[in-house]
Amino acid sequence: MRARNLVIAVTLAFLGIYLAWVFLEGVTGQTDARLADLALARIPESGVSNPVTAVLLNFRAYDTLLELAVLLAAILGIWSTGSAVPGFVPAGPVLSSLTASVVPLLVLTAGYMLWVGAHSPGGAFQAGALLGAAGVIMRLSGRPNAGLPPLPWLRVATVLGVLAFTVTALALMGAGAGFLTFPLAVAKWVILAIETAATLAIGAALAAAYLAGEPVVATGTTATSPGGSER
Amino acid sequence: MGAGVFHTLVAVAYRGTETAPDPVPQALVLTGIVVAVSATALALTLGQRLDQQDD
Amino acid sequence: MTEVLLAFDLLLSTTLVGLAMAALTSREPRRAVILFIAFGLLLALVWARLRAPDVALAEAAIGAGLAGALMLSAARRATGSRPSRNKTRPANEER
Repeated sequence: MRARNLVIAVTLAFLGIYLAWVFLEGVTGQTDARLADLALARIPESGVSNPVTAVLLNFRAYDTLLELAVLLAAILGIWSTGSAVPGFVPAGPVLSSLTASVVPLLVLTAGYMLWVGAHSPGGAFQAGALLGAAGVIMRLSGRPNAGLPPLPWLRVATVLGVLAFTVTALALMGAGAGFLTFPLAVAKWVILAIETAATLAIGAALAAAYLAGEPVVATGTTATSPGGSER
Repeated sequence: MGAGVFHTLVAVAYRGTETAPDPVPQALVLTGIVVAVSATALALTLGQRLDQQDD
Repeated sequence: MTEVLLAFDLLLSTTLVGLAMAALTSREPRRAVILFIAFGLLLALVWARLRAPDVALAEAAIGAGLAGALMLSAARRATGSRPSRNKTRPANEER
């Protein structure tokens, strides 16, 4: 038993060292295969000028697609554990007026982040996080469903990222380009469309995760939330 | 621990080039942050459900 | 200029490690989460220093903000449902 554990540990250590070496070689090695030069040299072909967005949405689009799938799987897992916990007590006048001014500002900033991601820091993840934060604030100020749309629409919103990504990739494949290969002429708009869908999906998913369960179908107003258990 | 791994990746990215940092590890880390948060959210929810069952 | 930046980096990394250890060793969930949020915000500063502004934005918004909010609500439920189990000492001693 002990010997087996030792073998496992040593194997894992070697695997880790090997992976680290491969990574270091790819990033800092002096060969022609250095990732940074490769990526930076091909940015003009990607349709955007922010290198990180180019890598995320074009060169390594698979990673981002699978990441959205992971987020979707996490949300489905959370929903499968049961319905959401009861909402918060309705907010007082100060907090609700603050919410009323902060939430539109957050949505506006999210739109800005999304657009600006093409050429400077920003992009779908940051914009999605801002939308999610808007949801958290609305939940904290007493809305039981964190301002999320009704369940059927919420389902559409959470799937939207993966769906738009896959449909675009398949359409481009049908049009003659490869799966997840964006022709330069349309690359910018394809990336922007996918990023918009991903932003909505990430925002909806993060706000839904804060509910810690499948949203309860709202029948009445927010005032009926069985508050008091949480503050 | 996840933060440590991210830190190493970005530090390597920074070292890699003197002029412009390598965008590839940065994109990896960005993806990693979102995946880490989704896993955390799932784990927290599962933990709370277990807690409720105990009571 | 470089000396100032070096001093800043040193201060930043020592504070970061200190915060991480404090968060890990803290026995009270709420306190640990708050330390974790502070850790995440400082980590965002480190990303900015490493010239990774995209990662810095994501870390501040997702890593510190949303993960912190998730953990805070989880911590509140954990301590709310069972006030006596998570600690070996009385709660007011920790503050």
